[in-house]
Amino acid sequence: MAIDCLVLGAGQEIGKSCVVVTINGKKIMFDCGMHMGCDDHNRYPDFSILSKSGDFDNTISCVIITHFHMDHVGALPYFTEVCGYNGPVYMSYPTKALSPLMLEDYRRIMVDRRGEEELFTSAHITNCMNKVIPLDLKQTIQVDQDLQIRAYYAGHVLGAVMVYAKVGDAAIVYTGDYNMTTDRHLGAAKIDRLQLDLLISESTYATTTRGSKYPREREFLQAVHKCVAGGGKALIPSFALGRAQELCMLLDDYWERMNIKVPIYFSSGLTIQANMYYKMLISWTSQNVKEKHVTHNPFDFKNVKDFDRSLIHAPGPCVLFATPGMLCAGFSLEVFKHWAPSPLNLVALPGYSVAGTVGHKLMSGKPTTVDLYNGTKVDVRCKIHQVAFSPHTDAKGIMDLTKFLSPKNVVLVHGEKPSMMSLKDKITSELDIPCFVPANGETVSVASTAFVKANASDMFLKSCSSPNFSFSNSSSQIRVTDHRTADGVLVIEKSKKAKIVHQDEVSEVLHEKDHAVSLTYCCPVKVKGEPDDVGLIKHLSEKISEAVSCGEIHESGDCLHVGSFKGSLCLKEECVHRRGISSSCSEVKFLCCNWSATDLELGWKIINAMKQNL
Amino acid sequence: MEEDDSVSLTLHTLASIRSLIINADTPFSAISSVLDFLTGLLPETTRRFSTTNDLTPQIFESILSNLLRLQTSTDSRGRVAAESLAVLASLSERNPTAAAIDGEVFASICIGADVSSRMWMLRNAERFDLPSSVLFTLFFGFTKDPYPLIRKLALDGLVYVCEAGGFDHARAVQGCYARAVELMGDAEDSVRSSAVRAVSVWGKVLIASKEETNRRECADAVFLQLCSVVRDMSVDVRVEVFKAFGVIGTASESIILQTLSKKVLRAGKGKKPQDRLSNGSVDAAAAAGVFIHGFEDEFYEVREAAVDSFHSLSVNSIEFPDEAVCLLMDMLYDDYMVVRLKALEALHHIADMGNLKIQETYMPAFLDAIVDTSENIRLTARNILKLAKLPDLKLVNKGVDCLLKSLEMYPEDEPDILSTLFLFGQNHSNFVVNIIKRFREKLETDSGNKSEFNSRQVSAFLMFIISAPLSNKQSITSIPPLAFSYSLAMLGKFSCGLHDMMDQDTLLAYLAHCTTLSASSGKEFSKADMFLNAYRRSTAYHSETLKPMGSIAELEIKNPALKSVNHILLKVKAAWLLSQSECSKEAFRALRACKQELATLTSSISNGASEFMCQYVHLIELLAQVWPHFENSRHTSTCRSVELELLMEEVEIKLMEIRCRFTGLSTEVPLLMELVILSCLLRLHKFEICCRLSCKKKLSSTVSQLELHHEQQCTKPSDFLTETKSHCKRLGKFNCFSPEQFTLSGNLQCVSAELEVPGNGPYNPVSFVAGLPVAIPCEIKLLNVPRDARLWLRISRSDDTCQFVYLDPNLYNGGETEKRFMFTAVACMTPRAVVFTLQVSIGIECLFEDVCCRKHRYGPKHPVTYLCKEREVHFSLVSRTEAVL
Repeated sequence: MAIDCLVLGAGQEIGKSCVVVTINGKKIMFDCGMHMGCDDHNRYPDFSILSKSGDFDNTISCVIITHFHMDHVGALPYFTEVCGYNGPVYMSYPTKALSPLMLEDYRRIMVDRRGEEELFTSAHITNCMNKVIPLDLKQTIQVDQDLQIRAYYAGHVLGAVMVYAKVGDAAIVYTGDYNMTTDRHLGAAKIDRLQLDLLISESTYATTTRGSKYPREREFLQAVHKCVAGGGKALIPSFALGRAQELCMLLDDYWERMNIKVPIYFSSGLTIQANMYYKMLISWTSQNVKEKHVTHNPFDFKNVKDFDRSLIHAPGPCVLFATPGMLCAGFSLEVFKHWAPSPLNLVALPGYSVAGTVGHKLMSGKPTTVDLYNGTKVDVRCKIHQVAFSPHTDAKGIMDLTKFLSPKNVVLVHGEKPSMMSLKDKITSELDIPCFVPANGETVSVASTAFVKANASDMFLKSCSSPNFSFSNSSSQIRVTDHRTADGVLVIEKSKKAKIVHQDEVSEVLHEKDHAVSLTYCCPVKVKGEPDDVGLIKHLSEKISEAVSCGEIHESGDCLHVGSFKGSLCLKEECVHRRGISSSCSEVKFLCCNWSATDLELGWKIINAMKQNL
Repeated sequence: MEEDDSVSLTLHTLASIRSLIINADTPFSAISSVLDFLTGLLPETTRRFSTTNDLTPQIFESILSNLLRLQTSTDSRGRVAAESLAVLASLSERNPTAAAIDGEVFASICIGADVSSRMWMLRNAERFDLPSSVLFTLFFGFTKDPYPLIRKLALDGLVYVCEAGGFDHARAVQGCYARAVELMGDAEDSVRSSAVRAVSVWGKVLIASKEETNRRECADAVFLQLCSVVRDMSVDVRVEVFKAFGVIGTASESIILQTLSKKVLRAGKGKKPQDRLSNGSVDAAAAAGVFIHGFEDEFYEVREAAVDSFHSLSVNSIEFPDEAVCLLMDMLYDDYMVVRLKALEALHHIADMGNLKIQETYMPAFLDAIVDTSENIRLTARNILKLAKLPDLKLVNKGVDCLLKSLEMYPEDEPDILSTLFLFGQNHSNFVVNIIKRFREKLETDSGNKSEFNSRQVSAFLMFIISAPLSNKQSITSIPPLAFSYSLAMLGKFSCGLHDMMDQDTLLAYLAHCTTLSASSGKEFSKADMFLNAYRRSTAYHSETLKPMGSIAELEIKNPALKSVNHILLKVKAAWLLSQSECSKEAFRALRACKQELATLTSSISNGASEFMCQYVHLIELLAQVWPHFENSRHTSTCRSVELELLMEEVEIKLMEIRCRFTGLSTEVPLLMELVILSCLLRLHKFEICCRLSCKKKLSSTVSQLELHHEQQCTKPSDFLTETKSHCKRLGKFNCFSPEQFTLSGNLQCVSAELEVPGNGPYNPVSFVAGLPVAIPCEIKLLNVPRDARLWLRISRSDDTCQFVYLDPNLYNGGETEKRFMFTAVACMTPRAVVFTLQVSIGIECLFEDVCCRKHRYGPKHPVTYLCKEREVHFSLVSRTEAVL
């Protein structure tokens, strides 16, 4: 039995997450994303590796989407509608609600603005979403007879989940993107301690270790506050879902606390719509939000208003959240063009910016002018503030999760190769867990657990029902062991089902007699003018009782019993048990002794006592 | 009549119940329902029968015998057995005379029972009065159970056994700790959280059982072991872990530093405290960022526990890093009141230790706390502000503004806000000019508008202003006399706010004096002024103690050990404060830690200083022991009062010893005198009338001595002294004492002596003739004996008769500090015995103790404290032959 993990996307890179795992013959596809940085055919995972004929329904048991980001869900309409996959697709309720918004938004930008060829239509998105089966947290779903899946809370974005999948006895967890520390509006990842054969984890920040979040929040707030206090305008380019809500919540609280009256604007309709979903999906947020929700919905931002295009040139300070993030296109870039030349203004960039975007240019160094995509140049005199508000876990978080779950193997995806390699070394050396970093198209095979089912005998079951402790006193501490399972013996016979029996039953089951180990030694005894056998035995028994304190000594004729020890006079000339002693001396008689292994030491003590008599 | 009826009915029922139970043929189901009935009925019946006709012991017996019978039968006995036990437990709880259940019986039932009954039994095991060894064996064994709930209960039981105390076999403790550590990796959340608790309590026992040298290492190992589960996904486990840190309460500084940083620090790298206790060692890296994780946890329960344990860790380590303070300050923004309050409490503690620097970044959080809706938070925040020292005018202004705002929002806080402003003003007297300016503006804008609120604001400003001269004499020149005369008008309000610092009369005197001073533009300071005697010290304190302060700083540079001694003194003070706040356990722990630290220091500081410190710490420890007796004073049993009497005696002897045995005391003197005063006060507070007079005499003499001392040294008398003085007539105010922070002067010397009777021993006794005096040849070595000392040899017999022999000063009054000489003492009390022993020791007369306690015709007039251990001298009767020879 083996688990094969085929990486179709996000192997040693970030983008188009897609991992196909074969557990005991069942194929599950985790995530079906698109690469945001590619414009060619590379933007989608190479599904042809799965099936040359295109018959995905029979190859793949199910598709599971962890969250609504484009690099995790982007290729789903293409896969279901264009490639023709008709099997079940699972995602959490919020993901199901928010994915169509994201897909539609993306399609619009690609087709309407850039005029690119349409890869999927709005109808495709709708049809695709109709195939989705929603998941709830910790709900176990029996996909088919053998395959079980269960979702755990992952933080990251609203509705992000980690997925536990189990086929037979082999189990894996695919984390998707997750966050190990809580945000203002989202909780930290939560998962049970499971028995896992394989953990597939993201590794976006495989080498970063972040400090406390409080100073970062404070810096951001102070930067914004300083800007608006000086009469400047603060631009925060961010994607509509996720960081926008997080930062907005932070600012709203701060505004409330410091009693600031400067308006905060949201630029796009998408964000407004998203806020509505956030308000409904309170159960997927953090404890903090959930408890506040009772009195006031924290997504009802008190100081937030809609932005109107005419306000770009309006005088006076303001804060503006504009989509998209990274200043790659659209409205945020347009506002940037107008606001960047004033030294009063501020651009706060939350999180990561892909290379090539204006955001990336602003973060690397302090440019005085920036080329926009269409060739125009903009003077940048405004302040730039970079906020490290990542919804991804840092390296320590990955290590902590791995340590907590202690899987048998780890596969890292969704990261940059050099840092993934160093994390791999760390996992291997510190946690002693084999770790793999496959590239796209590669397959990792690991052994899976397989349990043998066995019947248990009544006697064994009975002995199991009552505890049977024993305490042992090792060098410095007491240890306890419970013998009830240790008493069992697994019997596997050919063409029969395995069976566990109690150790006392083994001989019966095997139709064998009990064997006992016993020791035999023919011991020479000196006779001092006492030819009488009975006298000799009596003499010996006295000797023995002097030397050995335990047990009662029975004499009968020429025999002697102490516990399992039995000695009788040996009349043979050549006894096989007589070794290394010549029988030539006439004053020597022999006592043929026999004792069981349990009285091992007692036996030798008696022999020694008798030998001293020699 | 009616009642009688019901009784007889119930008696009858009970009798039949008993027979039902005893009957071996009664089916289990019937017994089961009978037992159910009994459990429901019991409280009622026992109450009724307790006076008249008690059937309980008999029922108890019958159930017990039935139980024993059940043991031997086989089928479905568990359920009934557990039910019987339930009845037995409630019976024996209500009727303590009923027999107890045998440990073996309990154990065998528990092992034989089915899972649900077993769970009940483990959960209720504490109700049966079982020996702890039986409980331990059972619980320890069941930690191996395959059922998680039973494992959890077993761990809880182990925690109970540990907390009940008295179980300290080294191997069992280690085994238990190791097993709990194993179970911290259990698959079940509830088991893990119980395991964490077990690790903490057993770990603590384990640490305590180690020798001093290994203790630190062991504490670190336990701490790190707990750190390794701090990232557990279960909230309960995380809460338990942080609570456990508080239980352990201490760790090496490098580890604490590591808990504040997620990056693995170089110091911690590769350092593995050997954890031989459990299988497998934990790297110091496990501690990385533990508190960062705790503070930013999603669940407030965890954050609260984290802040709390942080607090207890900071109690036990003086050198708590600055980063820690920043982390705590962040917690002031928390959404939950509990967390904020805990954080403020921790900060208050840190401020008390003098480690708090409020930076501008955190000022808003802090000010928010002052105007918080919760009263507790406001109070704690103000307490911090009382201790705070802000660096610049901007922040001071913000602080004042915020207090004004809080005054406006919560008028009920006025007295405490005023007292806060008074202390705050003293700490920031150099900004007083600015506040005066604002005050003037305020007055101008407010003239003619005399609303209540404005008068409140005005009084707040005034409070700040009038406090300034107390810490900065010069500032009085810049304060308009108007301010003082205005304040006179608000005397009632002010003295209400300052009631714990000074009474109305003092305040009045102070204000009146300041008015005249500032009117005369501060140039004429008349020395004879009564007020100045009371208050100049505070101002003089700064200017005049500056010099010795400087020299102390120099001393510290020269001798780094002295610095650590002074740190210990700081700790002692903290410990004393702890003991005041009913945390005597923690206080004792801290004091013990001080002793340990002292022990490590002895090599680097002078003998005298280390000896002094030991005595001092011991004294404080004694006082901390005495304290609880006075805290809950009302009802004390005789045995407690005897204990108290003994303790007090010890305190007094110790004090005397410290005062006599050290030369070169300087800054320590006032403290010692205060301690004498304290002990007098305590005595007066509690003890019989008989010793009142002498005690009062002693008190008043010490007070005047101390005053004299302050007068001579131009130092400021402590609050305690002024308080005592003002209350001298009507006693009872002893609880404002706190050991003043003093710096150990470098030239302390300990007076000590050695006494030897050469050659004497049990086999080589001195010969004597019964009834005649006998000479004891003593070899004496004296160290640092001051010139004016009076030394006595005390010769005592076991039956408490004793004799003093005066040591001629000419024998030892040389120039050197060390002196050796021979001295022959004559002992007069030779009994009619063949052999006997006498105890000889050297004592020094305590001249300052002027209470005469002369018991002997010939002997010291003052109490004597002893400089060396008693030396036993052996005597034997001269045998006839020897006498003849």
